[in-house]
Amino acid sequence: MIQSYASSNVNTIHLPLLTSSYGKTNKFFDTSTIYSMNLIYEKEVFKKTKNIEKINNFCELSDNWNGYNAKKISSVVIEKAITLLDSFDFQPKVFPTGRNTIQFELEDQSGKYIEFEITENEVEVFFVDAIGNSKEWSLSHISEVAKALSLYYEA
Amino acid sequence: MKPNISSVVDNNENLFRAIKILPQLWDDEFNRPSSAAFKDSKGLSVDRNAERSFDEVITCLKKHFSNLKGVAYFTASSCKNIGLIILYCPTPDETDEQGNPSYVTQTQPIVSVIHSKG
Repeated sequence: MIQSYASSNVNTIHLPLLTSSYGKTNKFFDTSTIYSMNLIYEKEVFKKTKNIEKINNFCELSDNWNGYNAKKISSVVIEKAITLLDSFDFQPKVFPTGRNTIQFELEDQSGKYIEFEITENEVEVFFVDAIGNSKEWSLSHISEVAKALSLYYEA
Repeated sequence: MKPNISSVVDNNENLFRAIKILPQLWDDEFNRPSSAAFKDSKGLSVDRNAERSFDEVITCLKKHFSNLKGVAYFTASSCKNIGLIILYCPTPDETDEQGNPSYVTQTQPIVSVIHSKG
């Protein structure tokens, strides 16, 4: 967990969401760093709220929502996706798919990309590094998401 | 009227997939569709070019799909090159979402997933 020191002119807060993927713990930061981290944290909290709202709206998709006979997204997948959002320090982009799954995507400007496809029974991961090498695997438990994210951030 | 088209999909033939505005399947940051738009439990249904002009295809898709955000298109060979199988399954007389007759020459399924980085 990131520690921060008190300052009279900066409103400091704990940043528990910003620790797991980077592992940069037990460090002290200057006030400008804390201020910018606060902004990032607030932005990510806002994005998470929007993502939850977006995923909840997938409940309203009726059969044939994509024009190609896609079925409704099941409530099991929706609930699982919302739970999984907690694993993300930086919120992913969220999309429904035509096979009763929800997909999370992260990508940076270098071309590094990771997607998580949430099904009723498992989570499929697809990762591409900045030079185009790809890898696919399945996660049997939600706790393994953090490890997959480490691969993305550290690549 | 449906065109008389070959059951064999030529390597150079374009295949089209419509993407609706909602729910959002477009990645605004990178201005392209998410790979989620190409995931389908029965394989990916697409429309064949079927010797039509590009404009004719787009007009046909606009008729068939309400609230179209965009259309992705790719050659049959690009699908085959990554191991996808293309099966031509012409749909019976189709109607659009308003019940008007239209012709849609869907080819399905392209088995497997087209990832955005694929």
